[in-house]
Order: sequence, then structure tokens, then C-alpha cells
Amino acid sequence: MATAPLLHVDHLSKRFAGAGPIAWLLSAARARRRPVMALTDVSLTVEPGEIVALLGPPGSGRSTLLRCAAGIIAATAGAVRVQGEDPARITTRLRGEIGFASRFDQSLRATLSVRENLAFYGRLQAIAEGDLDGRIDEALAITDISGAAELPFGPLPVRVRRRALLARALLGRPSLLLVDELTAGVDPADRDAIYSVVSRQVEDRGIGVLWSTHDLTEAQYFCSRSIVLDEGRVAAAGAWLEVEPAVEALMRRTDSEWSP
Amino acid sequence: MSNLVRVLIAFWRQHTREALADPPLLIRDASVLASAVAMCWFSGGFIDRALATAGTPMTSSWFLFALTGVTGMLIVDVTLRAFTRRVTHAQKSGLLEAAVMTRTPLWRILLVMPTFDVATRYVVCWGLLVAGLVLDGGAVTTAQMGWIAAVLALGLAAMTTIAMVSASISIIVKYTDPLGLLVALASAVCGGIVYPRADLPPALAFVGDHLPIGPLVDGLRAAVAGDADGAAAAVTTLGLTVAVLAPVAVGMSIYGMRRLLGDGALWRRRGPTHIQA
Repeated sequence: MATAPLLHVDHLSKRFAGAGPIAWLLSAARARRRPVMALTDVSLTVEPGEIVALLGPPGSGRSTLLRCAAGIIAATAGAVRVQGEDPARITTRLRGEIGFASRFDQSLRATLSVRENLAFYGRLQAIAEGDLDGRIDEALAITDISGAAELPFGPLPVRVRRRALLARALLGRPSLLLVDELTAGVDPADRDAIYSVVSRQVEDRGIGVLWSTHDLTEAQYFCSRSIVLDEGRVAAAGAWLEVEPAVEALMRRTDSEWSP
Repeated sequence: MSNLVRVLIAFWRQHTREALADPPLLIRDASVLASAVAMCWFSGGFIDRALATAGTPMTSSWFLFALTGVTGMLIVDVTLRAFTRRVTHAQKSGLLEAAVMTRTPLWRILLVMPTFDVATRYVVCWGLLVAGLVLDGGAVTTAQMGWIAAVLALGLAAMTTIAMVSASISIIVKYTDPLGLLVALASAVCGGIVYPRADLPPALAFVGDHLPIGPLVDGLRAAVAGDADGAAAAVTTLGLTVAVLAPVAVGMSIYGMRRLLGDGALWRRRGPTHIQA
């Protein structure tokens, strides 16, 4: 019997409704939101042991796709399956199988130490109190920030904060890791360190990674294959050489600041 | 240890650390409360003398009358604000989204998130009334303390159901808490906080009587006056309010949670008042 892919996105569409009637009446014109078709008929798979790049200019639907894959945005049409199950149907077992790290995340508290922040999410991950310290130490060691464990999160440099976000994503020992532009704004040496952490997880534990980025170098050298999104649709998918023409065409059209 | 207890520990530890991390804020809140009590205390002497001169009968001193009203408003304030404030902050910081991606279900996170604010306010209100009784010079009996605790608990529960409905409406209409604003305003004006509701125009008194603030302050006034029958009547009214509103609150909260997931509004990047579509 064939096993289900780690992540299977099947003809996924997502339409965001506009502002409600009261918000429409009360808000300024610029705040009035119209309905948006964020994703249209998107299909993809992520298998264990591979890192798949999700490429696209800002606004192409990458973050929405990641959130649909994590089950925290309900699809308008189509289906998302993680290990054959729908993550939107909140099953506690499945939740632990998905790790999510986003550079936009500001949820780690500035006044709390890295360890205290991780302990908060460890408890929500239903990690037993007796195992909690050990699991936090493990996540800190994997991401190489054990030295910052007792420091307040707020004043830490960006590179440590990004790794702390990654440590939190790995706390539940997920089999699927969803990453949203985690290396953006990080200097090359620290970027390499983050690649190294994720690569080790892929090699040692066989996790699958969906890596959202607009850095073409990352897609080319770090990821095993790429999926290019354009206005919520899959413009190209495959190995770098297969998607490169579509990326170049998209860059010319959007005039975006993608790295060459 | 059950997951609910673990989630409670997680949020309570975080909220306690955050509260203690900002001593000036704690001192400011305590000072505001202390000055409100002092104002009631000093003006109470003057008003009591004026009422005695006018021959107006009062079941307790004006100080206790006003203090129970202020306590009622503190309950209204914390329930209406704690839900929306915590949820809005969690949406904007990404905490709600990050928390939902753990093994803890969304409903449990939303349920636990305001408990720290509500529980600490409960303790503060109880302490405030007991301290008020001592300041007023009367003996504080166990029965009084018990009735105060019971009325406050039921008042919190009744207001919580309204807060849940209000927070759900704000999610559904994607605008900040219109019902909460109306209830807070109506409670402040019509609730008989520092004047008897009977002295209000009939329409306003009717509104005050039919909001939880009405039986809440009546019950607290009865409790501090040692009137067990009056306190029991308020507890019954508030209990019935909870029984009627709880199913509505739970139903609307479930619908609101579905809308949160459907609208992708667990996380909102900008705007203090709008829930991002």
C-alpha cells in the first residue's frame, strides 16, 4: 500500500471575504477590504526528507498557503492533508507533527527569557512537565542558542531571535516544518547556520520542509525543488532548472526585488 | 496533569511574569484604585451628613454604596476588556496563531487566555469590599464575606457570557466590540454606580435593572449590609442570567472561532481596531 505524502495540497483555493457591513460603514475608505482570491487551484506535495521552496513575489499567496497547510486558515475549496489527515480538523496528535517558523512572528515575549518562552509553548504542546526542560535543552542545542537560554528575548540580536523561533517550531519534534522567510534580513553566515540546522533535521529525522522565500539563491542551492506562485496560482513546479524560466519571466513582469 | 491545567499554568506564568516585569504599571493601577477609594471615603462623610440633614434614609453609608458601585463597574470593565484585549493582542503579536499550532485546541486557548485578568480582578474586588467594610468601621462577618464572594462570582460569570457574545460579534462583523462598548456605557450610566437607580428616569432605570450590573450592585450592597435575602435574590437573578446566556455565548463563540479560521484572522498585521480579513 502506498503511503500518503507528508503534505498533500490538492486543488486548494482560498478566498478572503471583505470587510463586514459594520466595519464597512465605520471604517475609513482605505481600511475597507474587498474580497481577495488569495489562492486558486494550488496543488503540491512534500515528501519526507525533502526541502521544497515556495517561491513568489510578495502577495503571491505564499503565507496563506503555509497557513492553510498548517490548518489555521480554512480552505474555500480543495483539501490539505498532512500524513493523510486534515490539519483543519484539530487533532492534537496532528498538531504536534507540524512546526511553523515565520520571520513576521512577534509572539515570543520580550520580557521573558528564551527558556521561559519555549516553556510556554512546550506546555501548550502538551509536553509533560518532567520532560519539558530536557526538550527545551534539546531544541536550544539543535539551534545552537543554548548560551542565550536565560537571556530576555527582546534585546537579543535578530539571528538569535530567528533561531529561537526555529527552536520553538522544533520543540514538538515535528515531521513537517513550515518556514516563512525565516532567513530574510539575516547576514549570510547566520543564514548558513539556519540552513545547517534545518538540513540536519532533514537528514537525521527525515522531516519534510516547505520553505517560503523570495530569495532565489536559497531555492537554487538549499532546496531540492521549487514551486513558484504567481497571484495565488502555481506558475511552475520542479527542479531549479525547470522553474528558472518561469521565475525570470515573473521577475521581469513584477519588477520585484528578488535576488538574482 | 490534564492539558487544561497545563495550559492554565502556561498562561498564568506568562501573564504573572509580564505583570511583575512592569512595576510602574502595577503602582499606577494600585494608585488609581486607592485614589478612587479615598475619594469615595472623603466625599462619603460629606454626603452622609447632607443626606442625614435632608432626612433621606440609607441602608448603608454612601462610602459603601459608592464602593459597591465602583466594584460592579470593575467587574464589567474586566470582563468586557479582558477577552477582547487579550485576544486582540494575541492576534497582533502572532501568539494566537502560534498557540493554535500547538496540540492545544483553539477553544481552550480562548477560554484560558482571559482567566488571569478575571481571577486577579475577582480577588481585588473581594479585597476592596472587605477593606471597605473595615474602613467603614463595621464588623466584618464570615457571612458577609461569603455573600460578597458569591455575588462577585456570579456577576463575573454573567458578565463573562456577555463578553463572549460581544467578542464573537466583533469577530463576525470584523469591527471592534460594538456590543461591549454599548454594555459598558449603559452599565456606567444606568447601573446606579454612585446614585440610586430609582432616581434615574424610568427608561434608564429599566436598562440598568435588565443589565447584569443592576443585580450585581444590588447584590453587593445587600451583602455588605448583611442582608442575606437581598444577596440571595441577586445571586438567583445572576445565576438565571448565566443559565440563559451561556448556551448563546458558547454557540456564538464556536461560530466566531470558525470565522477566525475561515477569515485567516488568527493573525493580523496592523490596525488596532480591525480584524484582518
